Amino acid sequence: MNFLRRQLPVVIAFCIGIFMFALYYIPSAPAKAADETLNIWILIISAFAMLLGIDSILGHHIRQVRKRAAGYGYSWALILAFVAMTLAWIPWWRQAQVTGAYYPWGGLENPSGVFSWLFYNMMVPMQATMFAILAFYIASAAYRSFRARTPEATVLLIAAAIVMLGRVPLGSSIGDYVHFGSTWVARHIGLTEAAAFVATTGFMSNFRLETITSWLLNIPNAAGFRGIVLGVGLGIIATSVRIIFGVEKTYMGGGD
Amino acid sequence: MTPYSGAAYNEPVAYVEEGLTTILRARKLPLLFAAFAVVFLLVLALSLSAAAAQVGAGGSAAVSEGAPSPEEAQQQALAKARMRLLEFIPPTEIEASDLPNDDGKAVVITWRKSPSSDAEGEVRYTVYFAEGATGTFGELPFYFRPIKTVENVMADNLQYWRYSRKHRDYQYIIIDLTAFDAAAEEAFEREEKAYAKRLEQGLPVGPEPALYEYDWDNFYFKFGIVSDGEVRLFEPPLHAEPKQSWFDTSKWNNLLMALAFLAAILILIEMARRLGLYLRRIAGLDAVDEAIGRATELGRPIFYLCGLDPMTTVSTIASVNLLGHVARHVANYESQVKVPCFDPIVMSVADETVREAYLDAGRPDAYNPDNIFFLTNDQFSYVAAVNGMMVRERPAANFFFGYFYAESLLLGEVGQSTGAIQIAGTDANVQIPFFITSCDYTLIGEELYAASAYISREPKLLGSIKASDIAKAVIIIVLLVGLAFSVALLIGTRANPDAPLGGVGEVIEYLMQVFNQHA
Repeated sequence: MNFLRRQLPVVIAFCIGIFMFALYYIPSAPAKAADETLNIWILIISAFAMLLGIDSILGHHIRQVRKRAAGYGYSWALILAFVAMTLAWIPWWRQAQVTGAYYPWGGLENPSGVFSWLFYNMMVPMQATMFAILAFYIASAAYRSFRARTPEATVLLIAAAIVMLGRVPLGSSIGDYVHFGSTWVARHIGLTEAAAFVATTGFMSNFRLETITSWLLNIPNAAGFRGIVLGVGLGIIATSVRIIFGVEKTYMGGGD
Repeated sequence: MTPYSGAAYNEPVAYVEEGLTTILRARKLPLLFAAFAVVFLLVLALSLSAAAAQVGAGGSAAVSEGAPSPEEAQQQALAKARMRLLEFIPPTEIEASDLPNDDGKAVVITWRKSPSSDAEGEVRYTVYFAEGATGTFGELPFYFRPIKTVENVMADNLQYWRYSRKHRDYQYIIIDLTAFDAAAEEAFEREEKAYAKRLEQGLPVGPEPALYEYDWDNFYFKFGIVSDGEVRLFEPPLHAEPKQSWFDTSKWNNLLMALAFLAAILILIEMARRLGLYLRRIAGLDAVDEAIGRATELGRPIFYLCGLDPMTTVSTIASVNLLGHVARHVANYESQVKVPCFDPIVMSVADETVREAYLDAGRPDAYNPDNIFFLTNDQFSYVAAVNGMMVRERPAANFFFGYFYAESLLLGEVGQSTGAIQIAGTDANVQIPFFITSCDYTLIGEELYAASAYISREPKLLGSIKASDIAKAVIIIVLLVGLAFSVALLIGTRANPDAPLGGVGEVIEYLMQVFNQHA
């Protein structure tokens, strides 16, 4: 029993891990076919696992209703919605015009069906509503982040203000005014050569908000992101090696 | 008087009808006819004048410029195209060969660039094919866009050829042979449908259509140029047999680095067992115990989310590993951990992990299977469900470990509003800022992978973390060396474009290519 629970999964993980590692370097057709087969296995396992998921969620809520636990009304809503969507999905059969064969005509394939109606008029608006809430949370999160309480937060605030302005037409207009104003001032205080330099070389464009935004995004920001990505890549390899060689077994439960 | 006023979209119609009724009732019918007649005559006059102007302009142009008829124009265009093709200096060293490092389903045609360069694309390269050397050469049976004479330069495509100065003037076309079979299948389906339709209509039919099978080993190609539909093919025909490779030679550098990294991990694991290794403090992981303690004191549950990716993702595996440690602490503290899952397989693994952790902690009686459950695998439905539970149950702590998408901020902000301690860890770099904003502690990127080792303090796990650090140091050194090489090459190429740095430039370019390709 201990062999089935402990050793066998490690042996399987080792064999499949090494096999998949080798497949990356073998471009031949049999290797590609093996890779596709393994991916199909994953899909099949996922499909069967969905039954486990349905069992879990329905079982949980049926128990909630039986026990009349707090908020069991929500459990009723879930059970009824599950049954309604399942019944609405049951396909009708339709005959193909050319071949005469019958094929299922249900789910989203049937735009005038009950399932489609429920999906497009209930599911989609509810999903859109959840996603739309994000706009308000971004505002509240931005407010918290941009309060200049520490020097780091102040740098963040300044950088964010520049980036936000640099991405909208107002930022571009500010740049135009600054350029025009600096040329005008230089000319009127007698710095004719400086005015000509500013007007002709485009030197001031280095200080335009959109240029600074572009620099902020492409240089310091990209550098930070690449550092994270490099670390993540190495972390993935290290974790994979730990699992393939059976060094880490916590995912099987019961410690290392 | 207002029969249509009920429907807004009928209002214009209502107004017109109302107006007409008024005119008719007022006995102003002659006036109406007169108005129609005036409008009709006006439109007629305008149309005639426009037509006359068009004819006049065409006629005058024809007379003044002596423009050719459409047929003559076409002939002239063809003659120009032929002239362009004749004037084009053909490329040299045209060869067909098996595409290296593939599964034997493609061939490649290569040639040295023609001195005639045509960036506008009036003359383009094309390929014709035949079955057998003596077969009739025709267009490829699938859509093929003739390429410009300045496209597909080998030096820009490091995937297939090592970057070498001698390859700089070469170009290529890869011909995917599976496209022939796909085209044959498409033609077969089309013919089969037409055949069935004729049978259905009772019309006479020929032999039943059959799927044509190409013999890839018998393909011959002719490389040529095309301009305005005119084609000039170069001799002799080209032939190559596709062969599958058993090792992708373009990845040898990758394999070398992977093996070196693997060796470093295994050596450091062994070293860690014997000597013990130091790991820097990670505040987020130190706070895990504090969060569990707080949950125990408040008598409220802990929510643990494993992210939205399936079990095949390393971040999910790392999350489940961490869940094992968290569950053991929770069992010891006699608190409760709830794991709402997005994926049923993750749910099964998480369930097993938590069960074993409780068993390991000597508290199997405290394990509640109802606490690890599947919710849904729809992103925003999942968020709605978890947020609802957060608001109703007011957890003492929320752990978000794994890969998250747009829901990160939705989860973090709602959790924050309930006053829970929140610790997040993700390798989704786009979501890291959202977690930093809304959570008390955030594990950034690789810290998630180190979490399991950090919490358990197992020497063999710490070894792999140290190996990652060493690999990072190597990468930093390589980046600095690459930077120095780039600057040196830049300066050297300006001084002597043909042999920068007195020939050392070529060696540097090769080394840079080795690290760039698949590394």
